[in-house]
Parts: sequence; C-alpha cells; structure tokens
Amino acid sequence: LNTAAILSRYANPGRFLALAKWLLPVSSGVAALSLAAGVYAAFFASPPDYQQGETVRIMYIHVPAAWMALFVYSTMAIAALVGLVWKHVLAELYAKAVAPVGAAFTFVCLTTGSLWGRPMWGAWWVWDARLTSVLILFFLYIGYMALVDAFDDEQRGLNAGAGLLLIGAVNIPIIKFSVDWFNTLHQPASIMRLGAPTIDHAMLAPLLLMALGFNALFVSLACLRLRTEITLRKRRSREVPA
Amino acid sequence: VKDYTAYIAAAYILTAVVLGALVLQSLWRARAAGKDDA
Repeated sequence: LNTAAILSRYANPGRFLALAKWLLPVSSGVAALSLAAGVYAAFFASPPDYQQGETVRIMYIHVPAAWMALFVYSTMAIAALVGLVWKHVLAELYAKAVAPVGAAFTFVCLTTGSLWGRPMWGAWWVWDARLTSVLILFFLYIGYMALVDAFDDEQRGLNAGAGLLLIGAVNIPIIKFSVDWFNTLHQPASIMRLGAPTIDHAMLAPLLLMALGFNALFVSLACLRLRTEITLRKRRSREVPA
Repeated sequence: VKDYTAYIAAAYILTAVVLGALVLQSLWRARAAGKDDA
C-alpha cells in the first residue's frame, strides 16, 4: 500500500475504530510493561553518572518526554496539512485529539529539565535557545487548543488550528538544531545524531525502554481520544441536520 | 557528594501525576461521550 492508499483507507472512521479496538489494549499493555521495566532499569540497573551522579536518572523521563513533545507536534502538523489539503476527517480530528497529550509531554520535559537544571547548572531556568524554543512549543500546543475551541463552528476552529500548526512547525527544526546553531547551556544531542550514540549502553537501555513506554502510552491515548472525538462529531452531526 | 534525592523524586512524581491525570481525563471523557451517545 502506498501513502495515498493508506490515507484514503483510514479516511473512513469505521476502519479506524476497528483498528483502535485491538490496538488500544495492545499498546496499553506494551506501555505498562515497558514503563515498569524502564523505571526499574532507571533506578536499579543503571549506574550513576561520573559527573552528574544520581541526578542522571532524571534523564530517563526528561529525554523521552522531549522526543515525544517534538514527535507529537510533528504528527499534528502533518495531520493539519493532510486535513487542509484532502479534507481528511480523521486527520482533522487527530490533531485536536492529541494536542493535550503533546502539551503534557512538553510540560513534563520542561519541568523535569528544570528539576535537573537546578542541581547541575545552578539555575531552574535560563533563556537559552533550547529551553526558550521548547517553551514556545508548549505555548503553541496551548494556543492551538484555545484556538480550536474558540469558534462556534467546529470546522472553522479546526481550519484555523491547522494554520497555526503549520506556521508553528518552523519551530521544530529550531528546537532540534538550537543546541548546534547557538551557544547554549543545554548539551547537544547524544542519541538522535549522525554517527553512533555517545551514551553508554548501561544508560541507553533504560532510556530506550522509557521511550518505548512513552510512545506506546501516546498510541493508547491517541486511539482513545480520537475515538472520543469521532463519537462527539457523530453526535453533533445528528444534532445539526445538514 | 550532595544528596539530590528530592529533585529526582520530584521529577518522577510530577511525571506520574501529569501523565496519570491525562490518562484519567481521557478515560473519563471517553466514558462521558459513550454514555451520551448510547
């Protein structure tokens, strides 16, 4: 199947609901297992860092949360484009459904980063390029949610929100490369980089387990919330005869 | 070596609270929508 075929196949909410029926329990199970294993590995099966000591354990939630913050926004921006261009119903509802999930991951990224920064940098917050661009990402999530809900006509809200998502997408490469382009207090990439990861295997394993857990949790929440949005839209279309 | 347990505990507890609240809100909203739809 090519991309267009997959897109048109899942433009039908019925097909998505059938997919979500088995995907939701599977992803929830994977999330529970990998998060439990990840937390165990983060505390009991990985060493303290030679410079940062025990505080490195904050990395196992901070870094996966940051990956999810960027990933969720990227999927929302793609969905916004697909929704605007092809009037794909699920794509339009998808962005609305997962926005709070992306905002939550961004909030976790910012706050755990702050809790890590205080003991290691001596500051809860610095206005450097990485931290500021992630804060802007958080505001984009909040702004999107507010904008979509600000219209009486749901479709107009979704269209306006899609516009904001597409404009805000310029922030994604800025976040990713901010640590290379600017002189920041934040360290550059250790994993998502050209060449091998610079992190030790003993620390990479819990990090990847937590990342798998966060991804699976996201899939579960996306299925659940998108299903709710479909139900609500069906009800609204019954209430207001076309 | 300084003890940073409070920072680590705060980070994990805060994450659990935020993500837990999101899961509960998603379940509650799904339940409410399902009820109304029935």
